[in-house]
Amino acid sequence: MKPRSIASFGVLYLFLTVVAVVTLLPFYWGLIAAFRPSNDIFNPSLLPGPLTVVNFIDLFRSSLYPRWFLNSCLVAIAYASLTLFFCSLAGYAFAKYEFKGKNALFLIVLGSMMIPVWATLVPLYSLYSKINSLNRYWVLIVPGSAPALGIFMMRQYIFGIPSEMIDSGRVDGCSEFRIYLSIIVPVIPPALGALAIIMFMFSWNNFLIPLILMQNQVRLTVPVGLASFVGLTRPVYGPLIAGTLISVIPVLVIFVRMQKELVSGITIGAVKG
Amino acid sequence: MREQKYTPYLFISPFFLLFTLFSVGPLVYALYMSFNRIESFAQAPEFVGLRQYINILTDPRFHRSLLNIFTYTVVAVSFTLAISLLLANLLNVRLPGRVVYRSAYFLPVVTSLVAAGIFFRLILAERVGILNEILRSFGLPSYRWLNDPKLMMPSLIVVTTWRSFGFFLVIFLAAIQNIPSELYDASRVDGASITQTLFRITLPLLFPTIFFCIVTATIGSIQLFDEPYVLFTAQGGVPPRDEVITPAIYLYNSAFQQFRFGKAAAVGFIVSLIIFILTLAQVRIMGRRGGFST
Amino acid sequence: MRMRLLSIITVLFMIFVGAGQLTAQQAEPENAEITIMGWDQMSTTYLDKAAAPFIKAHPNVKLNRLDLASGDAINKVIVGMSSGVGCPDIFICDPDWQPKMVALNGLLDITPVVGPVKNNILPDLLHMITVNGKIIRVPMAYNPIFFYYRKDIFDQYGVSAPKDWTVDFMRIADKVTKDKNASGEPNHYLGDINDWQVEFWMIGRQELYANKDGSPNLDTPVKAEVLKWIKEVVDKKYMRFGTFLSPEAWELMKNNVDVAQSAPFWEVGFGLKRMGYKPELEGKWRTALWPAWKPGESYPGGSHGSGGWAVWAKTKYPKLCMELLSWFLTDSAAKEMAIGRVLGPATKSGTAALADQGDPFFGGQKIWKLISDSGSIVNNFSYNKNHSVFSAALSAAVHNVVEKGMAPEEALKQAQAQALNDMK
Repeated sequence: MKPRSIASFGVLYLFLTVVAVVTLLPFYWGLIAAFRPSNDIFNPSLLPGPLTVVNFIDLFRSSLYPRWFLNSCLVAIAYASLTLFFCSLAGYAFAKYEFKGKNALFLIVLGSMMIPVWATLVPLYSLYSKINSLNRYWVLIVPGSAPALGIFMMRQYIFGIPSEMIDSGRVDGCSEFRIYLSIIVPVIPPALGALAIIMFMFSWNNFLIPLILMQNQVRLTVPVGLASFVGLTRPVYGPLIAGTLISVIPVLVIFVRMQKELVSGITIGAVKG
Repeated sequence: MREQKYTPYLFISPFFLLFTLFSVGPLVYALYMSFNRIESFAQAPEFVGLRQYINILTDPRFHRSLLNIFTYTVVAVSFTLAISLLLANLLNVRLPGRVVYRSAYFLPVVTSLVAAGIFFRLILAERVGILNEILRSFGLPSYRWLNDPKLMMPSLIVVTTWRSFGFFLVIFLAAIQNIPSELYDASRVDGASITQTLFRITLPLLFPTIFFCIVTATIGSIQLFDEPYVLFTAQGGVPPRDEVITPAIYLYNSAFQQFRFGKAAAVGFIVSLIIFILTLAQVRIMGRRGGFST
Repeated sequence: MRMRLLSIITVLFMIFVGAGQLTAQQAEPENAEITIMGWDQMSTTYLDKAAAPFIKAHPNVKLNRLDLASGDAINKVIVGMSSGVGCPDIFICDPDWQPKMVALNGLLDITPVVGPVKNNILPDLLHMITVNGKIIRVPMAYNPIFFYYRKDIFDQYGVSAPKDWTVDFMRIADKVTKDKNASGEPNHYLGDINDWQVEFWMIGRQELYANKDGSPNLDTPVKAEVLKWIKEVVDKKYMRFGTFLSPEAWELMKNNVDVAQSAPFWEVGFGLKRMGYKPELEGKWRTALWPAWKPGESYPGGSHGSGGWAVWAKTKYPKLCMELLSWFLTDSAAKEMAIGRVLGPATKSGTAALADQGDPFFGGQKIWKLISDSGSIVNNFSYNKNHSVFSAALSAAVHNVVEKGMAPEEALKQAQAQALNDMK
């Protein structure tokens, strides 16, 4: 769709820019606040004052932030990988196979989306503690690693893969899993990209679960670690804001780099169907 | 081939295994819990039958949480989707630098929730928050965004909209770009105005996506916990007040403030039921037109 | 393709690592691991210093430090106690939470540690840490409630610290808040107020939240009177509502807007120094006794009650934990803790050890001595295991009265009903 005239062009830009500015204002404020000394954080001026990195130094000195960051990265990457694997498998099965009970089973998959996380939180805590698995990384990675949303998206996408490719693989005598690996997998990167980002984000931002399940300072993830700066009555906002800024970077980088895949993946997954 | 027969079951087994172990199992246990009064797992539970369900359903605070979440869902979902739809349409114009705008709008979505909550607690603070500071510099009155009973829900809606509109924007944008351009070219040849194009071509074709977004947004909205918790938990650990209490917070309070784990389990069930019914209703109403196929 | 293989390998590796540690869990006594949970980053320095002798004596014992925000910390402890597994070995236990934890049988009897030095602990605190004759907490600090004020600004208006809250305070507040700025806001406020502080007034007036049978006691004439008072000071713009202990409060104290504050010692005392306060202002703040409610009454100012270190009843290493805690009661530890955590020392000798810190009490040395030497000022104030529920209900009542204009009696009735409901 092309704009009608230069004037409307300009108005459009103006509007979009205003919205963008308003959206980014909290980040801008956080950015300049992070470089202000801790007792000057609430200086309401929107202009940056004298710059200091004391908050970042405080952050690294008085906490295990680097370790938390590493934990979050590892957990999120592992989670995203596992999710991709399981969801693409299941999505492939639902998309390209005919088997008894397929519709009913798929309904169950969809239904699983409607169970709120915290409805099972306390029983899960009980379960993990009984099998001595609190404070283990796998409880952050494995339990939710086949989310229905992912299966749904994969299924939608794989619908679009021509069945001839699969049939020709069978004619060639490949095992079913080989077909999955060599034919399906190489073809779905756009969808994979989108799913990977979404799952990474979800794991990265997860707060309640690591909070309850991780027992040891060394194993905290970034959101939980940051929250420990908000003590009972004396929140130390300097390091908190600094830490927040840093924590936004990985997902942002991934998003910027994989925007194209993300967009086309979401297109197929969410739009066509 | 025999292999073909069992392979699909094999492929979907990871999901069902995890689902059974980590969703269904605990859910069943939670059901059992909901019929018991449990204040500690180290002591024996006390069977109370349906009493906890009755207590919950007659608790005015629970009613308030339902009212809140209903109001919130309707307003926030409409607001968020309207904004993202509008912006998606605007961004669809072949503007240079469109990607930059899209990234800007998406940035709130990737923010860690705790941090976003802290940001906004400081931005919306009454005397030292920059929002009021900006208002004062224009001679406008300043407001108690996070404390005034009338403003708490609107503030919450603004914050959650800020966080999520970018997500739906990306979805809508992708969907719009999926519409064949021949349709638009043909309509321009026919001399259609912008409004006509919007309402006759874009929106109807987008409807499946809109429907998908509405359902997704609704399911997410009903489970709202993180934002109100981070924004409105007062210092000293006092939980968010009734103006912004949601069923999720009600559950959390039952478990971790009142230590009635059985009651918390019951709340979980009631809310899950509500989500289920609501989603079913949405699918029914919009299903036919939305082309929602299984 | 290679990327995917790599990720799969990563995942499998992580799972194995996790699983592998499953088997390594059986810990030998020499390789004990104790988890200590504090509230915020400021627990760090003083804890390390206080525990140094212990660490030296037991090089094989690993101390896991876990610092969480207090609300989350409490959740972790309570859920751990409730499930019987996973509670930190040593943690900070607030007096509010103590009854609940006692009800869960979650606190270890540490009389062997604290008993011998009982007489060194401030009497007010001793009462709070003893339940059924057993001592279950090592007190961290003593938190009397003071009235802080800017003597220089009070002098300008020709007033001094109030002696009561109903007559003298109102008179003083009227004078100090007379001057208004362009937006009609007073140039000076006498501090800020919040639902949380209602507790302070209840303490001062010896009002309980709960009856002996454990039911809530929220609908009383005394509480109604306090709520009326709060509404009056907010309406007359003597104090601000809703910003107590917030970053805003600090900004406003820093910028001479708030010229008085009534708070536990820990917030305003050393806190003024800690928050990067302007040093020249420090000399201008003074302390006074918490005023009595009515003229003619007297109230030296008891403690709001402060956190104490407690040991989980089901810890694997009770002896080690108790030994570690014993180091927290030494004079040097008490002093470190006072300075590091911005609190008053819990022991008499600890107080003496603070002498080299100048005047941490802003001219209130005498007041501190009076309060800390006194017998049980608040021995009637005992918390109930449903305290958090009652507290939340009362908090809602305060908001209803101040912000929605509800009549205090009505608001308290609602609070009572809600508390009873939540107890079911």
